[in-house]
Amino acid sequence: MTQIIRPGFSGPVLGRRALITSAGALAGIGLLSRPAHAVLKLDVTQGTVQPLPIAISEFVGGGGPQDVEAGRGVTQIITNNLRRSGLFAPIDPAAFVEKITNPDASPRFQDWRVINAQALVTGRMTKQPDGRVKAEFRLWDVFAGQQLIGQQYFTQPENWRRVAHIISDAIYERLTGEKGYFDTRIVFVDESGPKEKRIKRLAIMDQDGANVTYLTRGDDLVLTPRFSPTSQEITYMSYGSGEPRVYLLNIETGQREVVGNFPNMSFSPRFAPDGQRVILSLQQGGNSNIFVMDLRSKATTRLTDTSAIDTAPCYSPDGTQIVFESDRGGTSQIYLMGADGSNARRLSFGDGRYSTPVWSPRGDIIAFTKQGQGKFAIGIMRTDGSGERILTEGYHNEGPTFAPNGRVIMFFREAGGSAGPQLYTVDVTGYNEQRVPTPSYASDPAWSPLRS
Amino acid sequence: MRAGLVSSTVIHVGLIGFMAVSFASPSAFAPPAESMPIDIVSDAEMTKMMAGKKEAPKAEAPKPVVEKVGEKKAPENLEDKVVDKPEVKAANEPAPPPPPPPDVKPPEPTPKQAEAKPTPTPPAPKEAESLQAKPPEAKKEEAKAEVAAKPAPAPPKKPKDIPPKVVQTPPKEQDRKFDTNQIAALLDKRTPQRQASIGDTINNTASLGARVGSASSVSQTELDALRARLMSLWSPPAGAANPEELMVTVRLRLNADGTLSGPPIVITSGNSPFFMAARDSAMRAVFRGQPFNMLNPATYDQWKDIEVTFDPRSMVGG
Repeated sequence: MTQIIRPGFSGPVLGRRALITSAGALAGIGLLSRPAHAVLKLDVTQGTVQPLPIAISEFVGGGGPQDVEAGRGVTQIITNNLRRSGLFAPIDPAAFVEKITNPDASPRFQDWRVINAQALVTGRMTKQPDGRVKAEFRLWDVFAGQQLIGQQYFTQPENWRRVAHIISDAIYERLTGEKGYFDTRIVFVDESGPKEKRIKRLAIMDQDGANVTYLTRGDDLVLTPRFSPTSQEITYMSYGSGEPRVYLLNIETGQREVVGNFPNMSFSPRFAPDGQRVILSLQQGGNSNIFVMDLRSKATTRLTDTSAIDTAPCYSPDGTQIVFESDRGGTSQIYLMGADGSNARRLSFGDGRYSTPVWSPRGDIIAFTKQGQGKFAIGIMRTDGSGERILTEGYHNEGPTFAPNGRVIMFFREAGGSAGPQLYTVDVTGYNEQRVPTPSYASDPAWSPLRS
Repeated sequence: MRAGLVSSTVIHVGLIGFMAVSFASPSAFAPPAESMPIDIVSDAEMTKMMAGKKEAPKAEAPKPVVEKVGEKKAPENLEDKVVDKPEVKAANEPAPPPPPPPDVKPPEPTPKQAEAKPTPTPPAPKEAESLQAKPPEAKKEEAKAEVAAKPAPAPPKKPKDIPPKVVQTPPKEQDRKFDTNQIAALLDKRTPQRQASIGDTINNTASLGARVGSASSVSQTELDALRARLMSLWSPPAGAANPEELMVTVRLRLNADGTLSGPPIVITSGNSPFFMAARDSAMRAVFRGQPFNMLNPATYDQWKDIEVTFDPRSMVGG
């Protein structure tokens, strides 16, 4: 019965949308239509990405003083994790109006609204009679006045840090929709001693820098450690006795073995997504080619055969493609080929030299190191080579590695001068650059998958 | 010399003529027109019709403008429904004896088609009398002023708050029959949206009108302000792999002061973690945005019910 006419629906509106979007300003197109009940319709197409103000109330100690102590520690770790992610802005506890004494009861939301907390975390640590610790938490939406999640975990008391990371992941996932990455570890090369006589040791730590453990003694030079996606193993390159070789190390048993028996130098190893194969480079004369080796059968397959240096291979998450670095075109560039070595084609066409390509676990982007004009940059591009974006640039940045959710990239940076390299993280958006605390200088980080 | 002058003139004229034509075209950069929502709908016509005139005399109850005499069937049925039962009885039967018997029986148990359904006694005979007395009055008035006169239907309600009723007919004929088999015919069959211009008598003079009876609408500025408020508060989960999951449509019902009259209703559905996060972020923006006091209370009718679509695709896709 009613004819609804919307003048300007197609033409002017779209034009305006394009204009505003390109200006990067606030935008949004509202359309009106008034059917029978006159519902006003409004489109909001731009938001303001800002850290979510979150209040993390101190976890209540359910039992004795050690519970209170553990609660304080857990609260601290969660606060630290969420703050470092850049997506959350934990509120200073001094501003809290309500003191949470019973995390099971609904908090007084208006007390948290006045300090502009949009989410609230409450929790409790209780020592159980059997010696374990029960950690429970609830996440509340302050403005909607409802609970978003509530979970509890039982663990050994010495694992309290991990529980804090797991809780952080749960909060992160519920509020952002993405898997967290806090319950992960980093393997890296720890560098100590003076510049001319650096001792390089393989080390592993939690992603927040705690629990550093050294995996090698530092007698041999170690480089490019990589995590297995499926097991507690890492593969790395080391100058053992003579020729550099690729090794496999079980980080739980400390067992170490050489990958393959190759006549020449083998380097830049990386696990395939199934964890059953290692892809690596083999030196052949002045060149190097890419091989893949099955860890069980030890069968080795050649994937490239060129008179160029092909190295730094990395599988796509689905295992069907391999991205690698090659100078077959004159300078070092990024190439893509099928998992069987077919159909190699060049991806990077920008100025400068590209190296160390890494495929995001989410599969949508490839991170790389780009060298040009005396600078090293960390950048990302889509998997077809388009949409290149530089995330950070400086004297020396190298070796990107993705967090398991594909949102954060870790790399190492040297500022120049006598100072050694340090680890940094940056969002794939290019924002929120953070230094990762390490005991001394560190390089060549590799992010583990989520622990399970 | 002469040839040179001629050719020079011709070329100059040609050149100037060409420039006049080629540069005279309007600028290609016409500013994009603000898209102003316009309705060409009976809805607005209705409100315009109800809009008052300043110079109109103040009436007891605002009367609608009537441009067309409508069919009478439906209104009559409506009236039937409204009118008290005793009246029907009083109308059908001869005037009841002054002291009515406590229980009036039907004269005869007629077959199926009972002419007058045995209705319970009117509790108050006075009321019946007064009701009966009314129609003649109305008729008189009608006779007097052919065009616009009507019996004042006004109950003692405040005329300003009620949307003026479109059709109010006095009970015209008293000899209608109450047929139990045709109860369905007595039901109000009007669709919810009635054409307001139909009435029983033509009335071309507008009355003073009601406060909300104007056709003003929400201005673009108000909408922009509302959108800006939501944009400044909405922090969508950025960087999701497939941004389609992040689209959320929320329906708000607002009070006249711009606060939410109830929790927003999420219209889109999904169960992925991304959708849940997006939904919650949209809800937070809405909760924090209230009161939406940029909206003019005068146009409350138009914004009391808003559907907001939060669509981060253009942000994420870059």
